[in-house]
Amino acid sequence: MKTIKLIFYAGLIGLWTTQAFAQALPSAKEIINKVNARNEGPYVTQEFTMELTDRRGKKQLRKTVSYRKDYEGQRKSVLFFSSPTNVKGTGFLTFDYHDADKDDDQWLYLPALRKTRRISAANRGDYFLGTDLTYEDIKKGTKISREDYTFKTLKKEQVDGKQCYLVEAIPVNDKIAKELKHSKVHFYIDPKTWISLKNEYWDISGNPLKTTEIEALVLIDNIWTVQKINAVNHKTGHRSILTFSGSDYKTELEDDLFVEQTLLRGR
Amino acid sequence: MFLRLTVGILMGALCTADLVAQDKAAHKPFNLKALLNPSVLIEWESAYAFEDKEIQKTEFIFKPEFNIDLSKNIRWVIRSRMYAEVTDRLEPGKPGQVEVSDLSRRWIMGDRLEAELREFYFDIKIKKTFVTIGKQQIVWGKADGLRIMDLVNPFNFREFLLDEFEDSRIPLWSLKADIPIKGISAQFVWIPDQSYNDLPDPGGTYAFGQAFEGGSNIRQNPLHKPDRFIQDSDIGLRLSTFFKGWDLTLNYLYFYDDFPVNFQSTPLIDDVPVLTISPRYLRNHLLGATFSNAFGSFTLRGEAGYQFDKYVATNDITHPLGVVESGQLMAVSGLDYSGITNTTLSAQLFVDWITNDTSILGRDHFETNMSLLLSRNFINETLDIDLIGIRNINRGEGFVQGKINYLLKSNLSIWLGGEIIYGDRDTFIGQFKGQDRIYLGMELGI
Repeated sequence: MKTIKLIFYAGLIGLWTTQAFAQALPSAKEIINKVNARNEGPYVTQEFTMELTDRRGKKQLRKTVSYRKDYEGQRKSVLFFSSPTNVKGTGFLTFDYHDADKDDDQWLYLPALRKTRRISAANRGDYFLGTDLTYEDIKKGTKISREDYTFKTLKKEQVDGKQCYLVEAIPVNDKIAKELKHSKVHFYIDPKTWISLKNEYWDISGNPLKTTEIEALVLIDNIWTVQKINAVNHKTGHRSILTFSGSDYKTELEDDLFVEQTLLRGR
Repeated sequence: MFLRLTVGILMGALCTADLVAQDKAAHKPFNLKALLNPSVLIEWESAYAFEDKEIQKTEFIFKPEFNIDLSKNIRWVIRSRMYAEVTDRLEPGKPGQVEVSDLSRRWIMGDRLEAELREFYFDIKIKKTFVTIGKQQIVWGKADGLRIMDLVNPFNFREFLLDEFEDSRIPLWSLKADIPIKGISAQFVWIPDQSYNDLPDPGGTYAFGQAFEGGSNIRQNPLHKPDRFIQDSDIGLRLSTFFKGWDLTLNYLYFYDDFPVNFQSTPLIDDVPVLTISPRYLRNHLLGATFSNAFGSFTLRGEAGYQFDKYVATNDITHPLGVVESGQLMAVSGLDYSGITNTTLSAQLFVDWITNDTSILGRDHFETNMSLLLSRNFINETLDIDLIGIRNINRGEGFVQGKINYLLKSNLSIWLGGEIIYGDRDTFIGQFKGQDRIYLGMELGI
């Protein structure tokens, strides 16, 4: 009889603990909504430097200036390379539509051709200009696509001394997984800033693919702003460090910054 | 022209002085490097020609560039080029440059060394209008490799069609204004610079017509060039818009064809008929349109242009002029596929139709060209491989280019490439079939 009572109470305690733990962990949907609702300002100007290092230690350095402006139903961004000399003037313009069914529009200006080329936005899982971040990573920034994944909150875990929610994201189908070129992501989301401080990716075969970590985050004009990202590709040993500076949320950007003519002008 | 150049330089100097004064007034230390925003590209490339079994060229190129922001809305861009070709085979001796206006000519400093002011312009934003005035390149069109709409600037054919267009296009003194009008951008161009395609002088590696040996009874009159500043200038208008995912343009150019028309006559000289060629540049109208859009992993692009007054050589040596006037419709459609990681596949189909139904045309009325491009990059875009083929279906001529480029450092790249040219020696491309070559190069950016 004592044993039955013990099991009964143990069961009650277990149930209570599970419910209490579940209450402590917000739903993944709630977390992702908060990540995507985070204020990023209607426009921003930033400079960022890419330091790319291969497994043998060979380094490459590239400097860019980027501009982003939000519109009704879409986000426009443009990026110009300022160095090294052989890519200087290269420009990349994107119209990112909030409607998930509508493909983004992208243009690339190559100074060597003196032409703007329309490029496909379907290859969002390809790496962006030799970095370890994909076009999708660059486009989304600190936001997370709701339409591409099913989410699940796994637990709380510390990243750099901060308690984060560990959210697992699985692409909704094989087609999306192939497009994104990964089969699973773990987002470590800081509830203070609602930014994922660490992302771990697994490739289509389920092997570790890459890890990206935000190494510096500051509050500028009351907006949490990423200052440094470290991305490591576990398959190639290649590493990218992206350092952001000069973030300006105050200077309003003119609409004609996001047109083809501006790409040609290189600024 | 020299007066205008002087005014331009003075304007730039005055604005620069104003900036220096502004810095002083603001008690900021004057930073010349930040003001000039200088950069330099240094290139070396050597090519070996298989048929001649000799070094075809060894060139050293020094390209300094300055981008001077005179104010938030005015940028002054200066690009120049020092060029040394050691073997002196591409343009033996001192090139005549008769096709190019005085102010746009290269400064020839000997058989092997030249300097050129490539670009010198002010890029000005006035309210919503972008104005670019000075020596510049204006590029129209969506096609790669062959040109339908890209006729605003002429080209230097020192290396036929094989050099980078960026290097072979001849910048012109011109004015360009982009004016936004309710969702449409209207680009107006005015080009008073009377420069045309710079064709290699006889003896050059890629000199035209060397395969066709003329008889002793052939005489060539001097080239007749337009020379009136206003009346002989070219003008153009391009309307462009972005509509439901499509990039669309409508283009019109009133211009002098950059290739001279070779009128022929056969006067009797000392009672002997002498075939006399009288080359002259003639006016033409170009009306065309371009489009591009992306569908999934595919990008569709194209352009079409109609030239109203094209002159085409005849195959009738007794024809009194040697040329007939015709309309010419040219169109290209290209499809790019990027569904394979780090890879681009591109195919283009060009059609070219001479509308005059005369039976004495020195070419087919309807010609087709096609091109294929395979481009793939490896190792985080440090290694690029490009393979390009262009073929004229009617004449069975064309060329294949391959190039491997490796980025040793951020600012240092090396490359190895080669070309195979094929076709009959009496055809446009095939005349250079003996110039198959392999080349090695290096570029350093500072």
